Amino acid sequence: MTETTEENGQEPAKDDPLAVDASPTKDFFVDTITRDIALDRALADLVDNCIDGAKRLRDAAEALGENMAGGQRYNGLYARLTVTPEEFIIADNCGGIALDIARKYAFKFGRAAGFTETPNSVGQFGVGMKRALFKMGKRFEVRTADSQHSYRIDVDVQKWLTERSWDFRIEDLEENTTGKTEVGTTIRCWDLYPGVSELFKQDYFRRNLVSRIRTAQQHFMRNGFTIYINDEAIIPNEWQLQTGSGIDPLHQRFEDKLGGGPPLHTRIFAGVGSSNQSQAGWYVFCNGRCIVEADQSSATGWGDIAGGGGIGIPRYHNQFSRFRGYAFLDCSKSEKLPWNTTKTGLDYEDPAYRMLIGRLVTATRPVIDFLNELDRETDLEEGDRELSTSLRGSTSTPIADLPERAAFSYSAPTRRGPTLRSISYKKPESEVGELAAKLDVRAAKDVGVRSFEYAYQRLVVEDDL
Amino acid sequence: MTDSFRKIDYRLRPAKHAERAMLVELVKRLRFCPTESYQYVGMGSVAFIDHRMMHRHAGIVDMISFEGTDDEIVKERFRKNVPLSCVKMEFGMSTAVLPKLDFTKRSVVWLDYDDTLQRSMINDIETVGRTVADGSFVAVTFAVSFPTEAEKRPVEMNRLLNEFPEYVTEDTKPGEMEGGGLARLGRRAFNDLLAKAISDADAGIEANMKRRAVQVCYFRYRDGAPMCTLGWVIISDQTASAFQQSNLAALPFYRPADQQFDIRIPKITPYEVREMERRLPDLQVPDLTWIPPGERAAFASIYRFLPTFGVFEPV
Repeated sequence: MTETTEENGQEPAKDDPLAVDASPTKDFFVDTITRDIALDRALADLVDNCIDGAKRLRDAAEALGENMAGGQRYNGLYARLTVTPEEFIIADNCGGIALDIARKYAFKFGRAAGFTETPNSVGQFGVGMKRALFKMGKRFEVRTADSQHSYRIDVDVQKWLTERSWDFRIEDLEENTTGKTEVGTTIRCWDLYPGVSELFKQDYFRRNLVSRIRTAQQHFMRNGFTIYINDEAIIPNEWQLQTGSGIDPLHQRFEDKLGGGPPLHTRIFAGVGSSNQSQAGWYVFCNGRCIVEADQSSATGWGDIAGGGGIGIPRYHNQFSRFRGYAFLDCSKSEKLPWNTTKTGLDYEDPAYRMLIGRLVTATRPVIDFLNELDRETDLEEGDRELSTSLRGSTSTPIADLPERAAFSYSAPTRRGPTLRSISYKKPESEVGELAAKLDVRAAKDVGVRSFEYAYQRLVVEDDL
Repeated sequence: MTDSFRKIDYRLRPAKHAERAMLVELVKRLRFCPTESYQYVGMGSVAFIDHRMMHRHAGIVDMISFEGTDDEIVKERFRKNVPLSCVKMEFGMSTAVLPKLDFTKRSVVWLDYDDTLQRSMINDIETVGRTVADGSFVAVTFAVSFPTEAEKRPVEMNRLLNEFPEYVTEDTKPGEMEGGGLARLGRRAFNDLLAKAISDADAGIEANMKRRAVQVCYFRYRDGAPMCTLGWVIISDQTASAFQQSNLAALPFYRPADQQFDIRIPKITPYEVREMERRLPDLQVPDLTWIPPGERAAFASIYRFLPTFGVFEPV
């Protein structure tokens, strides 16, 4: 896309012969870090900024562990995405970017010291917006208004790359205390790169984007925030688990100090849902944002569980396609959360992650037992499939309505008498006939029953004397 | 695990008895707090011998026994056999029962399996390790027999390869799993994975409260099949001095590393027992040379923990 030039890097201290230049170049931000993230995820990052604005407007500090069942905290707030082959627009009414914040922090690469973070924020690393814009096209414009000012920032990326300065310029700065311009931010990106433009043309990409945002932001949407893509509002999912008929999902809560400052709150739900391979697995949310979805890898501990497909029993069947687990981690200091910068995964060295992983493993194991046992029932006759019967009698319940319970549990309906197993085998007809005569029976089935009883008497009962 | 009581007559298990007596002795020496305030979590089967012993000798009154059965008839037999009102029964698979138990209280936990070493046993110990209180004692017992039948050996080898990919490779020979090989594998895997589970669970807490598992016993014995038992005390910097005061190193069966303590039951007559007891602790005296030296050594290492058997005939 571009060539590295001496000018756009910082120069080493000329006076110091021992100084080694380790300063970044602009190209690094435009060309390199943009490769670390898929386009749909980059767009989800832009929505994160709108959500953080909404949190600032509606007092997010209180929002910790907000209403799982849904609520109205963000009613009236929205983000509107327009995705066309020519341009990308995201517009919100979430408070705008204060002039001072824009000048010092919002466009800086990485978080500068002195920045007052939004409590429970989902934007944390100070890379999301810039990375997303650089990834899409050669031109972008940010128009924003808060209760004090309105202004715009217009960037021609190619031109900026050749400039010595790293600054963007504020234009059309006006007072907005009278509320002449509606409060909010609109970002427009055009002169899109050909690959991006082609993707934006695809219905498939747009559908994927809807599903990604629906998963990533469902928590906020369920609390009143509206997200539109090309004028169509996304309807949020509701996380549900099967309950009743002897099946009780896990619901656990933890509060961890993790050094000083505000504690990290963790809520974990695990159980079974509908059979769907692509939706089965763990969902991990950091401050409401879905970081990991439908995960069945060692990232959420599956690989280390005996019988879970990683260790012990190879996963030949889709017997785990009913597994569902949801972990919500909330902290008003978002740097305590174990996410990576692309918010597409977990940071495996993070203490919060290390504490989480064991809890997920412990939560997963009884569900795996259940699903393995359910899988074994397919060999039984219909009337003997007790867990399948239980599962059919259970109902989908929103996780918000689940009582606390330390482990997923299930109980088969009370049995009368011992568990019965079927045995079937084939033997040469002549031999079956001979044995039938000796046992004084006719039907092949009776030969089977009588020969079992005979062997049992000889090998078990008499042997025990 | 539940079926074992059908296979083994619990009254005739001298090595098992000695093992129980040694674990009780170890628990009695813990100096973190009075042992009466511990809880005991075990798999008491129908005889509840370890629960009785932990109550009688260590004064523990908060006890749980769990069994993996959902058959009402079997459950009733367990309930009828509960020997003390302070023993609470929990029925269900260990994966479902263990997470429900409150391990924030100092605990003695003994997962006494009859089955051959399996990954799921390690998962159970990890579950306990994540939450078990500082100052607790955790032990696990498992069988370590490797099949001798030619057709079963590759099957078992393949199972181990699947379940313990970090420890067993394609090159590992079945022969390496015999003669204590499986016990050595188990010791390494249990130690490593328990340490990791505890370290991860405590990742976010202050350094002096971070727990660690210190291996204190490593038994091998025969109880029908060859068995192995491992035990750890859970300590932190805060409780390290209490652990020092417990002075477990003074126990003859204390084993902190890869050297096991073999529980060998001497095959001797009651007369020989009396003769040797009169001369304890030194049994290498010339006037006992008529008792085989191996039997004398076995007796000397274990006499305090041997059961006394008698036959009572009505007249």
